[in-house]
Amino acid sequence: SVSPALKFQVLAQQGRARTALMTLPHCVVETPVFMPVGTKGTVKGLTTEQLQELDCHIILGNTYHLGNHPGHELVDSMGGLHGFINWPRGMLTDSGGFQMVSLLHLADITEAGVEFQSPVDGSRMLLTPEQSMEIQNGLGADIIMQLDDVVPAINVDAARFEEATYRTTRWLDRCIKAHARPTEQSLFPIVQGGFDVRLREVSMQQLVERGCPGYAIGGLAGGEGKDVFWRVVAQCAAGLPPGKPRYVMGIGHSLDIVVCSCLGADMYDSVYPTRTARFGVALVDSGVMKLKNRLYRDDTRPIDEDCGCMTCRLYSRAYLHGLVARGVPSAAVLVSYHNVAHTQSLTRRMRAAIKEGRLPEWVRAFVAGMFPRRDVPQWVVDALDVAGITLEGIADRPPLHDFAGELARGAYAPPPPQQQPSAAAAAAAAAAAQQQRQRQQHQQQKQEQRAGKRQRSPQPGEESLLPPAAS
Amino acid sequence: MQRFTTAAEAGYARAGTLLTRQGALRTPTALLYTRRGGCLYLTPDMMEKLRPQAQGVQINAMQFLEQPSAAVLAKTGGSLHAFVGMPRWPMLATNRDPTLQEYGVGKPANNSGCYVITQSGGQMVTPERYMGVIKALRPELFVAMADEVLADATRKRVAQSVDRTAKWLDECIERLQAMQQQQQQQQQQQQQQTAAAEGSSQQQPEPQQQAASASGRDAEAAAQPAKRQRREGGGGGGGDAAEGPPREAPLLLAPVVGGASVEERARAAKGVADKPVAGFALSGFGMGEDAALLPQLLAAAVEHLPKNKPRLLLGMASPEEALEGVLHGADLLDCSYPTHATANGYALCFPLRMPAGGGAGGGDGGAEAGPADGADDSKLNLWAQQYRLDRRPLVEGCSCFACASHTRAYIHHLLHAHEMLASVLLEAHNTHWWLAFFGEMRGAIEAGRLREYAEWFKARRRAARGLAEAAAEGGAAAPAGA
Ligand SMILES: [Zn+2]
Ligand SMILES: [Zn+2]
Repeated sequence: SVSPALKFQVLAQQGRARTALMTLPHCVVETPVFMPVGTKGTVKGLTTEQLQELDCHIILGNTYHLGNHPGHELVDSMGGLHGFINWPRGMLTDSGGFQMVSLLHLADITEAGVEFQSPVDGSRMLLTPEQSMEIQNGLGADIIMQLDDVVPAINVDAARFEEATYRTTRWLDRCIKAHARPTEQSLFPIVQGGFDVRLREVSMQQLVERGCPGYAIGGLAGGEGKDVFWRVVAQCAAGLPPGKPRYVMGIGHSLDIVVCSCLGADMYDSVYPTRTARFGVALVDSGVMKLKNRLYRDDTRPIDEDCGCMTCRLYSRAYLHGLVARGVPSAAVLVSYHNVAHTQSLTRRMRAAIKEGRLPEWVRAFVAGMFPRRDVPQWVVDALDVAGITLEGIADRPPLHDFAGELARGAYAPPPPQQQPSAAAAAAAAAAAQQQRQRQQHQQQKQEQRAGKRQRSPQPGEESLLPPAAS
Repeated sequence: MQRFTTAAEAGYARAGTLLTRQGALRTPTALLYTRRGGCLYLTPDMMEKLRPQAQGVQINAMQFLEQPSAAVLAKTGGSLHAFVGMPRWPMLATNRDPTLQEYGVGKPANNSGCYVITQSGGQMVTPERYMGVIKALRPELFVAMADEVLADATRKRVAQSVDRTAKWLDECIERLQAMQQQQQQQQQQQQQQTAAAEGSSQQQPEPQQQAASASGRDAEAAAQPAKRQRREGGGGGGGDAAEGPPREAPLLLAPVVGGASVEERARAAKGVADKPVAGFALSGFGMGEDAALLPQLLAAAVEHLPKNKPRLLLGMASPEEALEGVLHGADLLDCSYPTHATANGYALCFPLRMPAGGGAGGGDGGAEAGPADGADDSKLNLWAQQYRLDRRPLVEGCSCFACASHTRAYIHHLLHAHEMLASVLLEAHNTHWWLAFFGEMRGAIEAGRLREYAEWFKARRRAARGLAEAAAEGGAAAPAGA
């Protein structure tokens, strides 16, 4: 399952967190990495040259938007997304499915694909796994995503999550089959299963069996509670192969990035840093700075004295306050520039801390800076506890999660074995990945046997919409 | 010291050099358009890419009536420059925004001041208030407050505006002189202090103020311990006056108004010709006057102005008008034309150089865009479908950032997707193109070929442009995105 289009080399590991080099056709990406979103072929307001100055290794394009306009055939004929927008580094495209489900009210999911009403002429249209692959092959990103069956996080129908889990596997098989450029583009499956530990395990097992170059953890960042969010990340990051990248989709808040990285995730994307910038909100380690606030009217300090980005080198909060309050367009560019710089700095500092073996100290300092009154949310205390990082003395509350109970229910696979923090460990990592996967599969089987829930997975293309009843 | 020197002349036109506190401006040239002290879409790194043709920026002083306070400016280098992220750009302050037709709305001016619409509503601005803003902003150059009238104003109203502007000018001169005296006193004091403190380390600026009490994250962020700011501002020292180089007061340009009346233009010019000012501003253009009258109106004023001082001209609405301005002795113009082009999704491509036999070929020679749909001889409408698959840069051979990095197809896509980057790239190209035009005009003056250049330019544009297109010149295009 080694992809010629992706090499993942863990450089150092501390606890569950790791830092790695992910070699893609267009870029060597250092992880943990945040990928700014360039929805329609541009990270809003910033030039691709500025994105390189900002140390961005990989950016994201949205298949749904680009497929509508200008269309994947056009992009393909212009040298792919890389050529069309003149971006020489890494690129990832999503499947288009999530955007349809979230943007279009009239999307229906059937076994064939996502059925939706055309925003152009109102006709019924269908996005199949095969079409998603065709579009993404045309866009030509380094990493492409399978079409998955997305269930809104607020859904309460357990059967629907179950259906989506198995269908996502079936659609993955169709994507793998339809993928026309496997030596140039790496196809990532997406783990589904809602907030059900068992379903997540089933999903991981099935997807990992397919031996893909990297894995995404889907179904999050949709308004679910933080308490279930971190548990899913903890479970999936621990359960996915250690020698492959783990991508948590839709994550952009600094605290989320830090916690997920401590739990072993590697890649994130979100429109948050650039979208919030357009509302005049700047990101700083201590939280957010709403530049519209009159508090900044006469504040001659830069957004972040330690930042050093162009915006912080040249501008005060007072100036940006004046621009933001009046909606001058360059304000959006300047604050976006800083917010991207901030997010890149955050992951850079985490990578350095992991390499130098001081991640827990760094995380404690970061959390203390964000919550000087020690009012750290419970979920952060709990998640970091599972990651082996105690906030004692920093948070005014102890971990509350029922670790033993959750462990017994299989929520947390044991952390992967400690690796040598050296670049030469890549081969060992691959072997460890194999072992880990076997151990997990074995454990999974045992759990299911215990629970009497052993099931037959529906075969690709199978007509049945629902998997066999759960009980 | 001779501030303004001319290397070559051609009729009223001249190729000159204007020395400012922040370096020399080679004229004729256009100053970058800004709003609230920032280009609309270009960040400072993008502005730097427009050098060396871009030499200075134009700001509207009225946009700074309320913020920043003089106290804030004192902390950020003692002038507007560092505050707006342009520590090394010469700055010209004017009393209006040349891209906005803000006259004719709100209340009329009266003898004590003019009416300005700001963030917090409309207000009357007196010359005293205006000079207070100028004193705080400390631009290299500024235009005294003028009573500008629309082109259809009555003869009586035009005469009144000439008299009123002259009176306001005297007030501005008086206050500027007071400012200069104060400046000299301060410098003497500083010299004494410096002499006294010889050998001691640099003075720390006053401690940063602590933010007012407030709750929530914002307060946390604002209350971080203040550190010394690393700024590129001021005179390298980053602080206020203490160890910076001596600052001179801004150079004053006297407005020459007179509306659409040749007689009043001449009277206004005669009235200010001998005033103790550094230069002149041919004010009140771009107010709806007939473009055909422009040469006469300019000549009527320029004829009476001393040749050894620079002249500013704002509001030229086309390349032909700008050329006419330069032919009639304008040295500093503005970038409202490329700003409008950008807002409408146009890329300027009008030919800049006379064909071979004329000057050197190559470089930003000019476009070969035909008069097809979406293009005329002067600009491309990037909204047009014909650019969907066009892999060429906006203008073949153009050395600007947009043309060096991107295709017409991409910019066409960005416009249709209402993406701000479309405006960023178009502003970069259009400003570059507009400034290159001034470089060509200067070259023609130096080569003694301005008359030939002007004839070629006008003839080519007349031929290439039908009447219908001329009528559409005002910009009937689709609105720009973002
Ligand atoms: Zn910054
Ligand atoms: Zn160009």
